[in-house]
Amino acid sequence: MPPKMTLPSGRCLGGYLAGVAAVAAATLFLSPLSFSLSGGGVTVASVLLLTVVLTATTWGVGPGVLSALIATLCLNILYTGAQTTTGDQVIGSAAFLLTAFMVGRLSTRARRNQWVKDPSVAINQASDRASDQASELEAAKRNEQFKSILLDTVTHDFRTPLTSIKAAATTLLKRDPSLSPSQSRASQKLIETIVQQSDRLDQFIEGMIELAKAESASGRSEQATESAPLEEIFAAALSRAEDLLRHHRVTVTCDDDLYVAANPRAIAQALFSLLENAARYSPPGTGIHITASLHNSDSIDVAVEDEGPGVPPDLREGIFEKFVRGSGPHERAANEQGLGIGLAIARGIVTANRGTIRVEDRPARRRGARFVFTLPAGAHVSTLQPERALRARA
Amino acid sequence: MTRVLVVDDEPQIISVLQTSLAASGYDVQTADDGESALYAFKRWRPELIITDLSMSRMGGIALCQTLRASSDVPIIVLSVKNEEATKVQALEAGADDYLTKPFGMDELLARVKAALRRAWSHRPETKLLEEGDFRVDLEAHRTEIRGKEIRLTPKEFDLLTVLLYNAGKVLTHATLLTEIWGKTYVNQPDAIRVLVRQLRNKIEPNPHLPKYLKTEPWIGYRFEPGR
Repeated sequence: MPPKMTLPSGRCLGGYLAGVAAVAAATLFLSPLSFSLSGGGVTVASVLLLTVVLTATTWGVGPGVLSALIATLCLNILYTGAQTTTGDQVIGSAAFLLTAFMVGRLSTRARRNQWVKDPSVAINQASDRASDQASELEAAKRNEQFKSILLDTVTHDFRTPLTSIKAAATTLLKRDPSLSPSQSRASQKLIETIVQQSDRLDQFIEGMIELAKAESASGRSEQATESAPLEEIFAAALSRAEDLLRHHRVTVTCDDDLYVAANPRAIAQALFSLLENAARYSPPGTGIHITASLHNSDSIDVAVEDEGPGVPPDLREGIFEKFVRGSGPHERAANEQGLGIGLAIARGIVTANRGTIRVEDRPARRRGARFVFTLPAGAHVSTLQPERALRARA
Repeated sequence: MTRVLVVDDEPQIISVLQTSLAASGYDVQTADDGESALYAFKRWRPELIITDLSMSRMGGIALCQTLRASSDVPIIVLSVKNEEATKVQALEAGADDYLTKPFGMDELLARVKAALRRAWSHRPETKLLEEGDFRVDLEAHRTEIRGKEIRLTPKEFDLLTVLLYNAGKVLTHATLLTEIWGKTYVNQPDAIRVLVRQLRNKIEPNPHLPKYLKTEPWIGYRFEPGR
């Protein structure tokens, strides 16, 4: 059934009050954590950010921005015990405000699309009552269209500002002879932070989009399954992860002519998430090994092995849940880098493509973790074969 | 100064690109859709065009098609991810290269330089192709990488030649198929994949992490001859 939307009019004041109340509640709820901030800082920030996002989604830009302001104040005043610098606070506050603004605009636009552009709302309500099969199918189709409009909007509205931010920051990286060497070092470091963080935000958006697409596709009965060459999926994931994998030795072992019956872009995203995870939780200089092989005649195993501390057996189910992360000494530092959502994205995508995913020890008692997903094998589509025999000319 | 025309309907992006390109020594003008880009092109004769794909009045693809009817000016297309089909269309409509938003300025500047270099160097009537680590004698069908001879099958040789002629440029599956097998085989991307794998096995130190013959996922290939 299509989601029933209500117009946001007449709820303005209520929205602002609710936004303030939500942040206040979250702050009260979090206050017992405040004294242990060095470990819980990310948790506090995440919960507050979530509150801001929910406010902006439900009540729009204004209340969202107000709650973002209050949330950053709470974060910066109540929880300033930790080693945060003014730079951190400014970047943090900017991120909160930007998120509130964009989410608010998006949800308002999504509602407007539903109401103004799409006269189907009234029809949908009628069809709810009539609920014969044809109109239900029709409604499901419209729901899909709505989701796809939303995804396109997210892609466009998030990436356009990111493009300006990244292009501007990378321009600044090179110049400004007027600064003293120490000023210049400091500003370079801040600018590098902007570049890295906008890359991270972009990768994160990409992951969410692929997950949303995979989930919405798996709900459709007429889901078209492509047959995709694994080597292209590997190339896509590896080129996206190139920067992350800079400090690791990467090996790839892939049988020729392996095809999976799955959406290649989504699987590339799942593989990227596993590579990101491996790079984050294993020390620099160690190896990351990617392998693909036939599991049996109709399925294929793709594995990412790292040489990090591994995943203890009792965590192996939970590690694929959203916001679950390791808690060992090495993991704590690594946790600062991520939201604990990559493996959840990987599992969501693999499951939506009729596959399974698991984590195990590396074979032969070697140190490290081995993440494996199994997907249905795809059919070869080629009919034209280039010359096989090596008729080399001198 | 080299004249560069930037076309995008987002004022923020226009202003950043204008500032950055001007700081790198280019003479920049801007347009906010395809139609005004065409007008600026006729009036100002830019030496390179950077254009967005989706714009209200005349998008990037239509702009490429119209420009190609009368001009060889290098065109670099900007687009967001998940628009592979559109990127392929743009390349087939005559765009020279594409860049995915968001991108770093260093990347854009490198692509601009490469596109200008290709445009300025006209294809020589020579029997010897020398690019980076590669040296190919077209008449004797001899191929050397860093001075070391390798043996290629005729199709591998054809592929390498096409790649060298278009060094640094994205080539779609369809373009490569047409160049090597002819128009009939345009819908057989697997054939090119197998041939690319064969060539990689001969020229790449590690065929799974290629250094020269790079995959542009879902679109085609790009050849970086080294140095």
